[in-house]
Amino acid sequence: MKNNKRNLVVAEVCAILLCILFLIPLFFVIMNSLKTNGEITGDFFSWLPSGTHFENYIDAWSRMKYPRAFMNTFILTIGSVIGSVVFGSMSAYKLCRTKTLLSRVMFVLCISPLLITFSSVMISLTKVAKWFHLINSVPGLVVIYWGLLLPFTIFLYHGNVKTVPRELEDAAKIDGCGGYRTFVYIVFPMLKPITATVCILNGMKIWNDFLTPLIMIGASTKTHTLILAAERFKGSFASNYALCMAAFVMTSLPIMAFYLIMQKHIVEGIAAGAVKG
Amino acid sequence: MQLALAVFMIGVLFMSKRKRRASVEFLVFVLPSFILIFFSTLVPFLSNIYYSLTEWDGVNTPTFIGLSNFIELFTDDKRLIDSFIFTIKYLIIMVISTNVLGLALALLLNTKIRSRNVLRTAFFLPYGLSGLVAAMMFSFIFTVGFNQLYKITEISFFNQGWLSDPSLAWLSVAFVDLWKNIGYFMIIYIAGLQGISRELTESAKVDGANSVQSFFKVVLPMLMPTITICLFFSMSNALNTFDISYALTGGGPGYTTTGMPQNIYKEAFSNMRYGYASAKSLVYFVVVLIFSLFQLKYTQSKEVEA
Repeated sequence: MKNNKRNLVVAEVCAILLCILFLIPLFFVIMNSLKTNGEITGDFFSWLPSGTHFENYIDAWSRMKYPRAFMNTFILTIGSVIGSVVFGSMSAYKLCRTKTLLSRVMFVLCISPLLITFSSVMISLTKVAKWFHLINSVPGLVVIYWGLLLPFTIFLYHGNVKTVPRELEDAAKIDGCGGYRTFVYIVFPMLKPITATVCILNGMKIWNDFLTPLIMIGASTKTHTLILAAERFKGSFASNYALCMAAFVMTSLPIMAFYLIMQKHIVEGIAAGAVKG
Repeated sequence: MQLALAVFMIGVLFMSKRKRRASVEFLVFVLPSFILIFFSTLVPFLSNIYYSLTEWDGVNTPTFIGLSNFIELFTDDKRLIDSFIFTIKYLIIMVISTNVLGLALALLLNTKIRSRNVLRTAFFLPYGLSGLVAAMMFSFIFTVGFNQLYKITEISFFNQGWLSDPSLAWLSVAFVDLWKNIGYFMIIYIAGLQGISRELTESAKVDGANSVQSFFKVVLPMLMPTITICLFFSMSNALNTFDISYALTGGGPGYTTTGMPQNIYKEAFSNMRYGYASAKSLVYFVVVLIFSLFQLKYTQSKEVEA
């Protein structure tokens, strides 16, 4: 028993040391965002900056047009998540409950994109987006994201609808509840846990996505997302390290805050998504 | 597809009232999603097949040139070979490293050490960063940071071209990817480990198995479903890699860290050869499909055993 305890202490010390090593890059990025550029080229690894130079943040804030980029990313994420939840849950429910040939064919077609890599559709997707005037616009990209997110969303919902007892629906029907109201008031509330998972998985995917915004809304700074703005920012100010670090920290701050607050749900969501996927 | 829908519509007209209402309801529920998916993936995919047979700059009308894109692709494209070799090397190293180290980390943090919750959060933290921002941060650390570390310590490890030497650059990309994503795999493995009942490991201990034996004979087989999922995730992650190499090395030196998605991206959006890029993307689709089906089959045979 004593031996066991000593092992545990050794494991704990190892784990903590490993963790410090693991997070050191983040630590230095934050430290360096508070230095002047001259200090960085002189000494990247000094622990603390000579004074706190928040002017980097103020400078980066205005130059990367932070508020606009933040709003674009926010609209993109919320819009895509809401749409994918609404359309995904509706169609997965009906596809699961209808046992006709058409329904089965449609289900297979709906989830078949899971086998197609994004790089195999992105070229023509820009053309399709142009036909529908969805390119170079944030709401346009939201609609495209609906289509791109739905296969996985439907897949996740489809597996979960099976667990909703049919008796509930039948009871509602006997009480005179129509098909639409049964879905909204009976079935959808039963799908709450998987809805949380879908929101988290889709939301994180969109917030951190780079390639899709790059080809769809990368042309104008008006439609830039945070990630696109940070990338363009580094392109223009690559030699001003301090300014870049400040931009990176600011770009990551909202999602990090969300992360730490929602951590429990995110971990559960990922684990649940993995089991169903 | 349109034909099938037309037949369905005509069928609806001849149905009884109750049946008709059910069919309309079906369409209201399913059609929006179907249209969205149809135009965002299925139409682009099919038109990709057509474009792959054309010479096209993305602006003017495509001209049909038969299979010459594919002939060029297989016989005369050194950069494609570089990209493909990188993608395969990357796939192998990422699948092995994320799974082995992710599982190791999960085992370490699934013990009863006191700080486990804090440590889990800490290791999971980089996963929230976007790959692009993480790679941009590391691009400074690999250049400015390592430069100064070399001046301080004079260890030659820091004085190598971590981003400019073709034999090292791909490892740097893999390292940043691992750093960002290991927490994700750790989380899934911890969930898997917690699904294994204590009784099994306890009874193995009673039967005299040491911890190594009990890991390989009890824990690992019970973890098989989790492992196959993680293998699948890490595989699709590596095959779709784009952000990290884009921001860290720009795909260079040469094309030695350009993954296939980035190669296709460059061909279409920088070189303006949309037709040729479509051909590439089609070939890559087939390659990925073969990988996926192979994995699926392997998984199924494993699940039958379990």
